[in-house]
Amino acid sequence: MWINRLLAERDRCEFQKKVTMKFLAIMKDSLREAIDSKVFFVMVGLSSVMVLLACTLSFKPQPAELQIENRADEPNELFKRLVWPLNTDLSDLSIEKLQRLGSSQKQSGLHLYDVKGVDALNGSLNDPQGDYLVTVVARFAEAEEAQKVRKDPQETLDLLKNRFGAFDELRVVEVAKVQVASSNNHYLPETPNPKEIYFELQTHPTSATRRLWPHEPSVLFGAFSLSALKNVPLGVQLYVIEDNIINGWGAWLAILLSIVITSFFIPNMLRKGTIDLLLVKPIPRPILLVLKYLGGLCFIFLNTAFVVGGMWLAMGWRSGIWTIGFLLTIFVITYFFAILYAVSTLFAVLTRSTIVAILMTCFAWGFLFAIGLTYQFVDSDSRVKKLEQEKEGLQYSEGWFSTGVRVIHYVLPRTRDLDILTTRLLIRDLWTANQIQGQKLDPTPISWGESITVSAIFIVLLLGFSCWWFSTRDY
Amino acid sequence: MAVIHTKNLAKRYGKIEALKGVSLKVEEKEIFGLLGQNGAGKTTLIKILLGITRETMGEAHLLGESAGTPAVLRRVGYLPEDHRFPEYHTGHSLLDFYGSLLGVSRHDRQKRIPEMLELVGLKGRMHSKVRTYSKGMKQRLGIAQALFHNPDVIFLDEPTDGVDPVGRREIRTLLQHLKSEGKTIFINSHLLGEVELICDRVGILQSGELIREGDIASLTRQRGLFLVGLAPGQIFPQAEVAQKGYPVTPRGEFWEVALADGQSIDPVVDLLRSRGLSIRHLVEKRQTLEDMFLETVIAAEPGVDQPVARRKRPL
Repeated sequence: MWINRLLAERDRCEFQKKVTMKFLAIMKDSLREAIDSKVFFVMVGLSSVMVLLACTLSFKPQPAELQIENRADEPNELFKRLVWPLNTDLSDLSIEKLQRLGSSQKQSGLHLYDVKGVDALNGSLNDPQGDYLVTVVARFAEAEEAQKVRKDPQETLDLLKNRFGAFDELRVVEVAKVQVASSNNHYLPETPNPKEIYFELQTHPTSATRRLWPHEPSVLFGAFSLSALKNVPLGVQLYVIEDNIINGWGAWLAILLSIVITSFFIPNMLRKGTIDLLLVKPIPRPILLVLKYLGGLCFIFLNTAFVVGGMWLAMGWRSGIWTIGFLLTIFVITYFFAILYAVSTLFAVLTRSTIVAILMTCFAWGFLFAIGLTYQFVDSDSRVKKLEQEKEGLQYSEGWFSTGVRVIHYVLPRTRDLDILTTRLLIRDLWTANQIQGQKLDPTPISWGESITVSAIFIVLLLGFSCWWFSTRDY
Repeated sequence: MAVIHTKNLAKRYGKIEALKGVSLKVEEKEIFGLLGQNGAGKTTLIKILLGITRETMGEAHLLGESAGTPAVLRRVGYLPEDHRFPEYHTGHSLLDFYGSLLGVSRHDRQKRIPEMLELVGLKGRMHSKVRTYSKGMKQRLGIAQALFHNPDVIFLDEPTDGVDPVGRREIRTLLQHLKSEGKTIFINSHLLGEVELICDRVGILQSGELIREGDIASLTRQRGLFLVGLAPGQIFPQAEVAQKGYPVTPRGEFWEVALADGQSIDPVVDLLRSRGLSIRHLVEKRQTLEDMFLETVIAAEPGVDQPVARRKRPL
């Protein structure tokens, strides 16, 4: 018995080894085919230019004193915001709450704690990794109240130590030491206000300080300033740049080129005189087609990994921030492409025409994008209408158009969801774990399991049909 | 047991009947040539045997198993007629690719690739791109890939197509060598002279039907015709031979003696000897394979690629 099992295991291993060998051969063949086409060099060239351009990015930290000036045109002053947790309860942070807080702070201009000044304890004022002496003023409604704190400041000192710069579980800075401001503090007013008390906080940077520190970005080693992103926290700058490349024009161009390159693979394989030589090899036709599909997909995965990995290294080197979310987008982009490549494979097998495969894949891409966008609009519109009608005590019923869009959205791959997932991956390093866990980054409710499963089923169905067609045709 | 065996094999493409009940047997270690006009169904027959195309009716067996199964394909080599190798490959990388798909280990591939390319005379160009190869070189590369995994049965569709006379001779020698190694070879070819030199047996396919089959010698033999030659200066007794009931026709320096059914050439030989004539040449006259093929095909209906008679156009 055990000998049979051993032999069966050996056969299984041998089979796996042979399938792996065939898969690697087909992948290598796809790579040779892609390299042979000029489009590949355009793609590699563009990818290299993007990586090299990322290598020339510069991020110049803004001086700390600029970050406490209450200027309407510069809403991102870091030090000014560090007192927010002292004025409001910022545990369980949500986007809506943060937005409300920002606007209320701006409008009122009056709150209990405020940052009056920042001094560097070592180094310069524009070093995100430096220690700083921050002068904070506490304003009280009544002079008696302030007097009481002056007599026994311990509770306020503890509060300052624990909550200064503490957003949710994210600590922007550590407070190393806190005390009532000494008389030689140059931020003390000439005429003391009995309702105010000045405190001095010695801050020490945390892992988050750098990415929240406003910077001035530029490309080509400072030659061209990216003024639109000036004075924005470094993490946000990185997000905007990454999002533009991965979710914006960069991704569109890369996917379009990928569609063009890979659309040649299967029609070329099916050409008379070429297919005969493959069909006489001892590989079942469905496996041959699936291996060819995977070969194309791996090629795109490697290219994506090259671009995203290269940019990740370049941007990490230039900014000092290593965002894991950016790297994870490699898998999301490949999955997105897997959906499109399944469409390309189907039409390539049905028509054996590269042009038809390219056109139909682009059409499917546009259609899925349009459906995702329309669904988002229909869904939010339906919710508003439903609320309005329920307020009036009426039963809400959806129109045929909305129902149609919803049905199509449910059965087709959710490429729009993948765009949202990419955004979330890019932004995840900028938000706290509680925010991410609470899914408060985006108000659109998305069932990731369902979304990914529906897309996977779509791929399997298209590939299954392609395999059936390929297996039953005469060549 | 026959290595290749088809029984009432039929294939229909819409209204076109490419094969009409073909029954064929090819034995082990045999070189079999399938002849026929364009569109006669030769390639269809091979494609069915290799599982590239599926039969509409009948049975096709290869090496004792159903044709086209992976187990059978592992033991089969194939050179298609209009093969088109991916031109981004070199000769070396192409054999490496096909070898991987055949399940040949990396070690064996590295060993066999230079050997095979040397065998077909391409070793010097093995790292050049296929697109730089001439037609003859591509053909030789095709033969190399068909033989790469040391198959038991080899299907060659027009193997000498585009190959120069020296190359053809090399291919012939190679095929004879393969035969001596116990390989079974199935050849489709229009070059009847080549087939005659290489094949043991041939079959003629006409409009999807196997109309003639047999060994070369029996198919080309012309019963009842002998060529006789005498020593220089001697005169052939034409009238006397004719009187004995053997019509004689001069053929250059020889004389063609026709025998009726049941007649033997011996009385003619005896007559010549009795007259003291020296017989220098006496052979039974044979047809070439080409003569036999044309005779057979013309006797049958034309192939499917023959121009269809034009319909009368309305005036």
